[in-house]
Amino acid sequence: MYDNSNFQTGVNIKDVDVFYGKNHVIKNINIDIKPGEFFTFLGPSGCGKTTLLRLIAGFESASKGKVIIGENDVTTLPPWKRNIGMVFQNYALWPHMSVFKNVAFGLEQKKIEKIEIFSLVKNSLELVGLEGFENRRPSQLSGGQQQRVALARTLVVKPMILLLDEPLSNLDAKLRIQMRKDILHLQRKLGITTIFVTHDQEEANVMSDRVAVLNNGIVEQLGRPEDLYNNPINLFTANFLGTTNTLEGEVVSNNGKLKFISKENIEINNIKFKTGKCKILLRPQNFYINNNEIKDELVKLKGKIVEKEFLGNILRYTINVSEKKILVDLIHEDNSLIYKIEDEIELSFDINKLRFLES
Amino acid sequence: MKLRNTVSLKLTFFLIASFLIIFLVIPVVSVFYTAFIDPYSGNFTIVNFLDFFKNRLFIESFFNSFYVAIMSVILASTFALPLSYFTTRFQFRGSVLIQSLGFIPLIMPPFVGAVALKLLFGTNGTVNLFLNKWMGFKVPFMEGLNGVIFAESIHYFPFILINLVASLNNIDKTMEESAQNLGSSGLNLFRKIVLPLSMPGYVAGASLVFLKVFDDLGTPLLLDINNMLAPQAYLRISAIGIDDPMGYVMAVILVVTSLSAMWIAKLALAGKDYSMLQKGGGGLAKRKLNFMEKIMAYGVIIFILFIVLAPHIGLTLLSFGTIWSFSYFPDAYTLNHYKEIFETSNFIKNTFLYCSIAAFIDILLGVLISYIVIRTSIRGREFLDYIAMAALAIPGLALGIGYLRTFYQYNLPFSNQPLASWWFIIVIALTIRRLPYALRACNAALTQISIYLEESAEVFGASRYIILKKIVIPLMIAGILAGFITSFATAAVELSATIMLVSNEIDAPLSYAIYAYMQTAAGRGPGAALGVIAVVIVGVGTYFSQRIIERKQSEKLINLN
Amino acid sequence: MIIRINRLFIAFIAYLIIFCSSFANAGELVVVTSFPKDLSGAFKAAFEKKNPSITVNIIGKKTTAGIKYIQETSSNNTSDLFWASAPDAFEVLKEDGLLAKYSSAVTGIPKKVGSYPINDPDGYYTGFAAAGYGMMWNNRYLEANNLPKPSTWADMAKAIYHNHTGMSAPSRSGTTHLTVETLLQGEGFEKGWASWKFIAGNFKTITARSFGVPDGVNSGDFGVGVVIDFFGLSSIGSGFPTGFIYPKITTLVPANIGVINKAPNADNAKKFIDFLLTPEGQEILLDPRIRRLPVNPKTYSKAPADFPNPFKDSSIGKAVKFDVVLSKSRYNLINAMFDVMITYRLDDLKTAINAIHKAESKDLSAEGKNLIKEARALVAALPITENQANDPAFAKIFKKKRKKAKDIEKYTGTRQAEMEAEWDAFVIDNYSKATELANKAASL
Repeated sequence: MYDNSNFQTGVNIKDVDVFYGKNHVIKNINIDIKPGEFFTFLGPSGCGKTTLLRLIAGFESASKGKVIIGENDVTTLPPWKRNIGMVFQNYALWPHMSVFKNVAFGLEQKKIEKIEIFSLVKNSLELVGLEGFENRRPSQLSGGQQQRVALARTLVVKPMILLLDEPLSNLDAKLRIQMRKDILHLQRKLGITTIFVTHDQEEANVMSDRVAVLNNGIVEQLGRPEDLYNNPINLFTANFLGTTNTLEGEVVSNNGKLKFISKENIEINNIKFKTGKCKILLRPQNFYINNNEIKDELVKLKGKIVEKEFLGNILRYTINVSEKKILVDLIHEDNSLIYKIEDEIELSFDINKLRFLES
Repeated sequence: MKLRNTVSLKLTFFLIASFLIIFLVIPVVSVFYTAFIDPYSGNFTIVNFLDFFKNRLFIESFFNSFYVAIMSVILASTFALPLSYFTTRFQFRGSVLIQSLGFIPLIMPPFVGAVALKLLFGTNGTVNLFLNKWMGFKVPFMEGLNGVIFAESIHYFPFILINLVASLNNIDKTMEESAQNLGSSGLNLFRKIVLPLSMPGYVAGASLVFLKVFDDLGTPLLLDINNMLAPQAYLRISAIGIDDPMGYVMAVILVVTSLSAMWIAKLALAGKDYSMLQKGGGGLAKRKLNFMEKIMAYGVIIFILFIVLAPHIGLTLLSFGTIWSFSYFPDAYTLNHYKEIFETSNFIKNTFLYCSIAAFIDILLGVLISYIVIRTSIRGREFLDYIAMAALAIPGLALGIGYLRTFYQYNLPFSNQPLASWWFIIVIALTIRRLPYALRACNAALTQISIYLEESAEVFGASRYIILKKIVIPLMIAGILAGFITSFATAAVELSATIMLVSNEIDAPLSYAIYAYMQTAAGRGPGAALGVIAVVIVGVGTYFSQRIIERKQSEKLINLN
Repeated sequence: MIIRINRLFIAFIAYLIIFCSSFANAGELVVVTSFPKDLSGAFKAAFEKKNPSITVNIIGKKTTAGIKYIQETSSNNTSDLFWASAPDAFEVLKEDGLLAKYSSAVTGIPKKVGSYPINDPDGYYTGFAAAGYGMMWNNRYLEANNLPKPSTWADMAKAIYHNHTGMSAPSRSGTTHLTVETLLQGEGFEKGWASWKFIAGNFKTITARSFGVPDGVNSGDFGVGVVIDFFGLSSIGSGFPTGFIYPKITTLVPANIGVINKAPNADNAKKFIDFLLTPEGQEILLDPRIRRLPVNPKTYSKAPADFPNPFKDSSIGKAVKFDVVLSKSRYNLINAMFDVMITYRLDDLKTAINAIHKAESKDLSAEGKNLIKEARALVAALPITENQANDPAFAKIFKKKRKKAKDIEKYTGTRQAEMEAEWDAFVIDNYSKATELANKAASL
């Protein structure tokens, strides 16, 4: 029903600046989104991700720069002329209209014939799994159902791109996971270029083709989720996507080899990086406790357990290594040994899993 | 959660209930009763109603009252719509001015404004003389029912304005943005989304206007319109007598129509509480206007404001004018009228006395009734609330007739004077008529106070009296003050019940005095001066009421829920 | 407890009030009057100045309301004087036994004014001023609309005045009632009613209150109004650009004052009446805001030049000998007739008469003239005969107190409302037929 192959449109955001009064909320951002891509704006509240989305929709205006959708420069076009679809965080279903009228709205604006509207709406509701809901009122729907109606309403007019403003944040955990899958599935099926805004890195990781991490109006890093996770280029991205341990210190020469010495005097030998001040990142799941293997790559450190958190499938330990607290995640299997606080243990990790950031 | 029902609370409940029954229920019931009694045999009958509906004049009066009420709602909406739309959707400096100026008609006693309107918009009034001279035609603004419609819509349009502004501001902006996203804009957006969503607020305001116009006596009376229900009833009773059954029939019809209108409005609003689905947060960000749009907007607004402020302008001119006859403006100006009314100052004194007592009793009852309804579990307490609020639907005329009927046989203790001609009965009529407003204010104030504040005081051993005195009432004080001032200010210009109950000049309040003054050639000036004073009293009162509420709101540091 | 304190407060206030109100002031005088403040206030001030120990308490009520008030408080009477324009109001009270006899000893007051006795021959009420009825106009309005000043009642029925005139209804105003009754007595029942209908056909409005007429003329709302003379004269006196004239058919009727039976302050009451009749009291009537005709001929020497003098100018008020007993007997009936036939159906009446005027302005054929004659007859037609109107039994249907069944022996079970509904149907029918005929005549 929805053949988008002819309509796949990319989005280009070029040199865009947005001010709220004196507040510089979007600072010279450049993003290119490929046709058919599921692209996510990820970041904490206030980072500008929603502003950027609304800019694309036409609800904000840029003081400088362009927004190009497909081949069209829409920068000066008002929202009702852009032919893009947006699902709002609160779904924005009109309470005085039935589900049918809600979904039919955009089609009526396009002056499509009544008979056609009827079948288009029906199909759209089927697409989101809400057949037969035509005569219900929004007040009679659950949160998840409302969101699907919002989706149906947006998709039925065949917009060039789809914008989703934190659509999952109002749902409970289980529903969120289900909807995540459904939305992704829908997007793949339709092939429509989608921009998704969220503050939840798990969602970003699961759903996106690529992610732009935003902070304070700038793009910290842009790329595929695994790349961002594995190779963050700054501390913010590293900390935002998953937890990470950071060691600040310096790489120095040591008899022809490079050695890292942290502020807390933790030493790591055989570093493959350049000299100078830097930061080392290592994810909690990359550590072993009391692993007696001896390998060249394995670095060993001595430490003491100071905290323990039982997260169900993961045991998270805080370990004191030379006064530096290191977070370590171990998978909790049925008969795992559970360490106790005050236990003295040995930490080890593969040196290749270290990531370096210049200071 | 409720507090214990102490004996003193139960006693209070009983006393308040008695008060309401004696001074509201019984008079209204007596009106209904008399309407159903055959004047000859004294038997129960519906023949009076049949007489009413067989008489073409009465049916005409009935339809005219309906017609005038509905047209007033429509005209008032026409004034209110552009004003509310401009101020809520666009950014321009006139906004606050508009919203506060749009409130001013409410503080004009409607009947006296009608006189001024006639001078400005009558067949040979300022505007028509001008139109005739320069364009060769006249517009019958004030002819017949048109005059009533015009005067009433000007007076009551703020109800609709205030409600519309509130509901427009309450529409979540995503409601509009999502529509824009789907291709809607401008008028289309307004028609399909904004208007329907603001309907509940609009209906609330519109039904209130309908009610008040339908029941109004003063304006048609001063405009010499007698083929409407309220003036017909009044004229029949004063011409034919308190025994004329038709007056009662008309009063009954007035009450029934009012109650029905209130009920229908409630039905229409049921299930349309859109506030649940919306998170509020105001409508779309206000758009800036370009130059041409600004000119147009200001033009429309100034035009409407001029019309709406016309009664005040006319009244002021009349109060300072010497002779104003068949001319654009008065021939000359003088301060004599003001001098005259200050020399005979018992009207102003009476008004202050009556309205203060009435307002005081109102807030006393308001606090006690809301406390009993919200905090206790005394059986039947909701009826206090219902009965007190029902006073809104009882036209002043009906209440006045009811009082005359019920209390005329009884004399004041130790005196020869009939109870119905004692000035205090006017105070009671004012009290009952204004009670709904005071009650709503007290209700709103009390619901914001957490019961835990009182319970924690109880734990320390405080009695109910101390709790009321030291905790509840101080926390409610903003609402109480607002209720007092509203009661006072609106009682100061009440005419419908007053005119039935005033028996001599010494006891007459301001509103009656204005009416009396307008009965002589030389009295228009002083009457207008009194009218201006009435406007000032009500205006100042309302202003202070608002200021007090705002200051108290900002003083509330604790989040009380 | 807070309730207790407040209730104490209220009780205290109540006590004060009751205490004050039951305290009859030895030097008090209670006057029930329909006169406006301008008049009653002026006399009150002058009387109190002369009698500092007496406080005059004015209870203002319209004539009908005043009558009712005195009737209903008669068992516990607290009023001393009844003071109003219409003599028939006094007749009503006299018949109910609610007035006390008093004849003032003050000299200088003649027996008649015009053809009307100034005092009640039986001595129950005293005339203190006279008033006649006439037409007042607004000079600026007439000028702007090119209208001549009227001089007779018939003038007001002319086509040129269509929609430029106004009047109050007899049911609203004792003085208007007298005006209507005067014309009916002067021209005869049927001819009189016809005259009234044709005059009314030119009305822009029938005002709800008697003051609405001079008010309308003063503000220029309409051009000519039927008013009692002091309305016109006081308007002129107050500076409004107005004029006034007595038509030939008018009557001068005294305004009266009477002592109420069992008055608590009878002596003070008599003093007040005396005061009204002294030269000093009579002069108060010349005040520009009052302008009523004094009954002491000598007072006129102090009046302004254009002030009418019925004792000198015999044309005023001689034409009609007013039968006050007849007026009283059919008081409510006449009110009802006027209201049903004219007031409430003004629009229909005006339409008919406008059509007739339009037709008459054309050159009509003989048939056309007949149709117009018919139309005029239809407009003038009455639902009852003069005999019925003068029949006391019939008139009783319209009596205010209908508590006794024997009041309506002849017309058992007929209620006023029922009768009025019949008449209403009658006139509507006639007016619309007349309109048809006139239109037909015009098109011929």
